[in-house]
Amino acid sequence: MKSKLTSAQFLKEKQKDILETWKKNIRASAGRTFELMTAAQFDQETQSFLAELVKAISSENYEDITRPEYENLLTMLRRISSSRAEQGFTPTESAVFIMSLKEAINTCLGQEIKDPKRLAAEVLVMGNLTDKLALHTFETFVASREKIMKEQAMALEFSNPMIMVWDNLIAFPLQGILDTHRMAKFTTEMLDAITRHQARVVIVDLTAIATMDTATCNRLIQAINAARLMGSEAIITGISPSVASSIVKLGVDLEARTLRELREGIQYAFRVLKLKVVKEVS
Amino acid sequence: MEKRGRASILKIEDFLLATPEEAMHDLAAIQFKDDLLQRVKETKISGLIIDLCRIDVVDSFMGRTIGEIANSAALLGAEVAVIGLRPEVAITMVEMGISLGQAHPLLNLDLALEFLRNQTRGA
Repeated sequence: MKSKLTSAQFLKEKQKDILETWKKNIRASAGRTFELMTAAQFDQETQSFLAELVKAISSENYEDITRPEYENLLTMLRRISSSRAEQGFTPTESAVFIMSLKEAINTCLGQEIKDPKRLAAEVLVMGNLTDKLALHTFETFVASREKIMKEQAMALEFSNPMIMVWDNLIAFPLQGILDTHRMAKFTTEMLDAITRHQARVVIVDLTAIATMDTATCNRLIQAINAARLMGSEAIITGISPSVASSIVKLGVDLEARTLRELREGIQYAFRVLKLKVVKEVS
Repeated sequence: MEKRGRASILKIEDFLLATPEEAMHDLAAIQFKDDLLQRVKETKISGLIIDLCRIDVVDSFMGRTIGEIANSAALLGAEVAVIGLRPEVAITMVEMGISLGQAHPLLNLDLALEFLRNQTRGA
């Protein structure tokens, strides 16, 4: 008899349905979630989280999340929410993860339990539990966010390293998490360096940049156009697939030469500067 | 050297080097354009270099005027190179979406001369 099942047993039985509803809910409300993470990552995260939740509540403890059976679940939650903070999710986008699970559980409970009194009781119990988890997510998220902000403030202090590759040729290997602030700072640094070193070619190397949001990409494109106005050619090397797709999503023409790796960039720059590397014949 | 409006215009090799003195208001910019094109016609020079190093603001009108100078000079048979654009000016122009038309931006006077010489030889 289904109606005799406890919430824990019910959840275990309906795990698949809940997972599907949950994923659907997140998709409907999570804004940039899929701009910032891959579908495979997302599937893996939701699936293992739900499995862990089912395991934790199989102890029939819906109240105290400090008990050992919740330890794995909380660790996972902390990892998920701090990685969200790193990937630049907004608080809402992160909270949606747990909030929409609550909705999904409630929907499934509603479909299965016909007795209104019992339904209300179960919804309340599960609701309390997910609220606690949501609060925990939020605390971790804020803590990681603060840590990142401190780190970024420190990173802003340091200027981007510039490499004087050759006369009239400079290179900027960008690294770390690029946001619009850092990109704006980089733009001024790059343009100043162009004047100072009379650089005819500037190589912007993105090998160490895994992702870039569209606003930052837009700034990068502006920097390249500004360099062109000053009479210098900026080329981009080492672009990653996800940065490439951000640029495509922007729908703008990059109008800049993009080359696979730094060495190709240097080769190209040498051609522009009419320089040649010759192997010495011994 | 001769002063027209608020820009100095020098002859160098087979080219003219025009340096606007400071940020121009719209009327001065038109004056600058007319004078310059007149000179291009009179002197039959083959290239024009506009040096913007003294300019700290290029508004949309100024930007368009430079574009117009370039396009008109091309019709008169002279290529236009723009040099000395400051970083902060360049970034503002990009943000405002101002373009320089057919003018060729170049880093410095040396490169501008080299570029114009090559153009003349090619023609």
